[in-house]
Amino acid sequence: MTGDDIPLQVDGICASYQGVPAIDNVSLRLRRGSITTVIGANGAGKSTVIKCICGLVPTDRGKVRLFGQDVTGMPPDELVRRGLSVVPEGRRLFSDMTLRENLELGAYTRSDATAVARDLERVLTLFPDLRDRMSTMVNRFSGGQQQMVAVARAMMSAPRVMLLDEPTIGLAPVIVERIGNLIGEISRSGVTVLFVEQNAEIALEIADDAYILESGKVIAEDTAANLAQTDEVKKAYLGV
Amino acid sequence: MMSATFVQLVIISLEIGSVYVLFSLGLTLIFGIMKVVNFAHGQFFAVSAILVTILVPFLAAHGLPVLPAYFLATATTVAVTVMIGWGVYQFGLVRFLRDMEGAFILTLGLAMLSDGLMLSIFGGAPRPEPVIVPGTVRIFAVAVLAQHVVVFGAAVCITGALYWSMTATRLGKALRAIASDHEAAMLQGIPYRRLSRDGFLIATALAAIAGALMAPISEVTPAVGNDYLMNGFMAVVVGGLGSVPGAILGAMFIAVIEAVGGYYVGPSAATMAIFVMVIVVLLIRPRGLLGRA
Amino acid sequence: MSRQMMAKPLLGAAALMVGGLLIGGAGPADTIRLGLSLPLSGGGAIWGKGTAWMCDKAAAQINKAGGVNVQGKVYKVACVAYDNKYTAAGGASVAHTLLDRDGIKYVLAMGTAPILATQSLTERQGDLLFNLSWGKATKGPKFPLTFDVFNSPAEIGPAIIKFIAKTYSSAKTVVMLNVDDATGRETEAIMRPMWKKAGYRVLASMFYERGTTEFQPTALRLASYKADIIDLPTLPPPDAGKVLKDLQTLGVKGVKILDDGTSASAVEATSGRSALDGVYMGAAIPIDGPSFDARQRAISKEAKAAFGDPVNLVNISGYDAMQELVAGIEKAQSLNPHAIAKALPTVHFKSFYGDVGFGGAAAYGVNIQPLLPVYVTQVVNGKLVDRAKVAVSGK
Repeated sequence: MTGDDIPLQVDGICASYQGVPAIDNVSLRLRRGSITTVIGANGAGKSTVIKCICGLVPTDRGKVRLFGQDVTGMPPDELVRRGLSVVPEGRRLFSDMTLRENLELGAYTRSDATAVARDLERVLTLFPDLRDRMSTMVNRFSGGQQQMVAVARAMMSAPRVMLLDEPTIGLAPVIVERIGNLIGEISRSGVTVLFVEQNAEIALEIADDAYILESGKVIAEDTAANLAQTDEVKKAYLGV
Repeated sequence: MMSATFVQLVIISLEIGSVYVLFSLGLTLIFGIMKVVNFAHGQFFAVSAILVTILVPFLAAHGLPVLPAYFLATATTVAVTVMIGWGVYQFGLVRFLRDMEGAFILTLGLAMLSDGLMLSIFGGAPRPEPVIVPGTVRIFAVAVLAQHVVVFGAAVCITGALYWSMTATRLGKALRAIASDHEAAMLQGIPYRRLSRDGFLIATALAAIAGALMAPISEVTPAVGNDYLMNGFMAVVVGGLGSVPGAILGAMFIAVIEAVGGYYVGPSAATMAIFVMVIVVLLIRPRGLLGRA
Repeated sequence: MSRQMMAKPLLGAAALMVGGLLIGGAGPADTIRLGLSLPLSGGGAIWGKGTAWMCDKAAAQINKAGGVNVQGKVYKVACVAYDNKYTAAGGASVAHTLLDRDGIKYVLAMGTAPILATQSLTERQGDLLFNLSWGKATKGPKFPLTFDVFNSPAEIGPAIIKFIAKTYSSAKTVVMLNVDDATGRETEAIMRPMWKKAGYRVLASMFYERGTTEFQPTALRLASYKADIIDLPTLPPPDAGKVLKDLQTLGVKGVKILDDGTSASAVEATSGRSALDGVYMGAAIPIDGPSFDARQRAISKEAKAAFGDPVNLVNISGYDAMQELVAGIEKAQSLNPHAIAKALPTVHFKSFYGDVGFGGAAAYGVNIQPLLPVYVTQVVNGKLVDRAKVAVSGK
């Protein structure tokens, strides 16, 4: 298969924090236009997978390929230029800057002002309650709104692949629902999505493909629908 | 009589404050972006001040009137200083981004090295200062050195320009994003390392401009940078490391204590008072007046 | 407290290492070495470098003239300089290097703080100390191996006050400003009683910290007393210049005195010419005046070319200390510091100023002070003008 069919491919990456292994031989393949999720318990290494892909944590071994090209160890800003966008864990908004500034920074790599303005309009259509608060400092927003801003900011770079790190953590169920819809919406617009999630229920509901990570290792991979049917997953992750 | 003294103290506070503001802006910028304190910041100031005292008479001797000579000297000096700053960043500091201890050792070492180098090149004697804007002007019946008015005006303009560019330009916003969260900034495609360098060079240029502005009224010796560094550093710490408005507030805070304390209780006690007040502020607000938690 | 405290110990250590490499350890056995503990970096470097240069000058002259003859054996002389950073810590480390590592038995030290650190070693280990400090606390019968090398406020003060009293008979009040360190505190303690004793009212005496960059508040406070005389005994030239400039901006009249001012040009660098006009100095050498001859002027010119400053009260001490030592050794016919110390009060030596003997018992209780003349000078249009030459008699 070509890089066009698999926009993001992770081959056997390993990473460790100060000698303690965090993830071990993790491989992922994202099909173009699909939604892929990595589920796992707290501490399973989900966030490390995201950070390794986007270059915030160095990999000890393995390869990351973006659109067929080896991008292992490349700094995040270079990956953004190549079409990757990340909604980091904990949102990581520029808290003492306005909503407008946050969204503008999301489009930092783009020089086509018309296209950026069009995307801003599109984003604000998706998040209508943000429209009137463009000059508000983002630290004034509620947790749910901040998560929306983080997603909106990530959309502003017009990515072809978007990674989301625990997008629903700590949010009220109604907001979780909204995030779920949002991920579907982003995917339908042609963006390949990977998100890691503790909330297996919502993750398996939205995703096309799923991986289960335990103690840094992938222990199962299949379509989300299939995985949701297995007894182990039902027992360990869906609490059925 | 009382009010004359009051006016005088206000003016003195503004004079001193504008000097510290000029010095602090670069320090706070560097801390904001790179999360390190540049203990060699004063050296850029000193190099610039010394070069101006050399270039102005040199250009004047070649027939240039004093103001064009001063502007040309300042432009040359800022260019030279920024080039030195580039070297310092490229061959040193780039390895110590966000490494407080490493950068402390590196910049302190560089400060000592440059101290010694300047001493052997230029000598330790204070250099004769060029007279750029001579004489005094009267403000509310108070005599003020004209050069102080120039420094004050320049401080207002430079601070305004910096504030504007930090809030209104793409580069400024990116630098603020880096200051806020450098990893999140990289995730937006902001080239952290390249912009750190740019921010450092802007800070270096600010130090050089401050040096050129102060050359006509400060003492010009290789050691002068260190003297300003202490008060500039305290201004930045009191105001909140990394905050541009904080640096302005901190500089004015120290200037007022120095002016009012210096007049009413004497200079030595005023210096002590600055230290005490800095400690008090930090006890109440450990991250400074405008620092973020 | 110094504002550069953090930088200083490291700087000192680095400088010492460099200095040690350059100058090296022990010299040949037939060379008499005078150790120099001087500020060779930072704000005082100009004084330290000048003093070292003048010491080398004296050594060269002495060696050229045949060296030193002690009981038929001829010795060469040499100066060995290290950077004491003008601090107690720097002084202590230089003292150890000179006395313990290099085995030198005669030391010239500059600065009250470094001297305090040096003296505790020299007096205990039986080494000779030439004391280049403004104060009195490290001079006297308690320190039998310590000798003065230059005029300090104890000599300059009376000469200046006498001159001022004669020239400005209506002046009655004084304000003083000094550096807040050992030098400034000690000098103030000497000068203030002198003014009082001479019938003046000292309206205020202030101190400021070394490293201060802005002097407008201080100048405003000085001006507020409207004193007849503004006495600035221990201000380093750049600070003195700034204070004078700020006083001028405030329109302060009154007689201004830099008791240990050594050079008009160094002050003028920060004051500008007009603010310095009419200021009196107590430690400047009017080298172009009638008190000096062509040979002395030639040395001064050479000094200025070599390190940027003409000869002055401080750096001449490098020359004089070497001459004092050699005169003491020749008189004692011994290299033993105790023997030399015993001989010194009775010798005459070839000071830079001319042939000079020892006195000072009136001020210090013992005759440890070379009786050098005090020159009261006034700055007129950027030039030093001789106003009075006062012979010091202290026997």
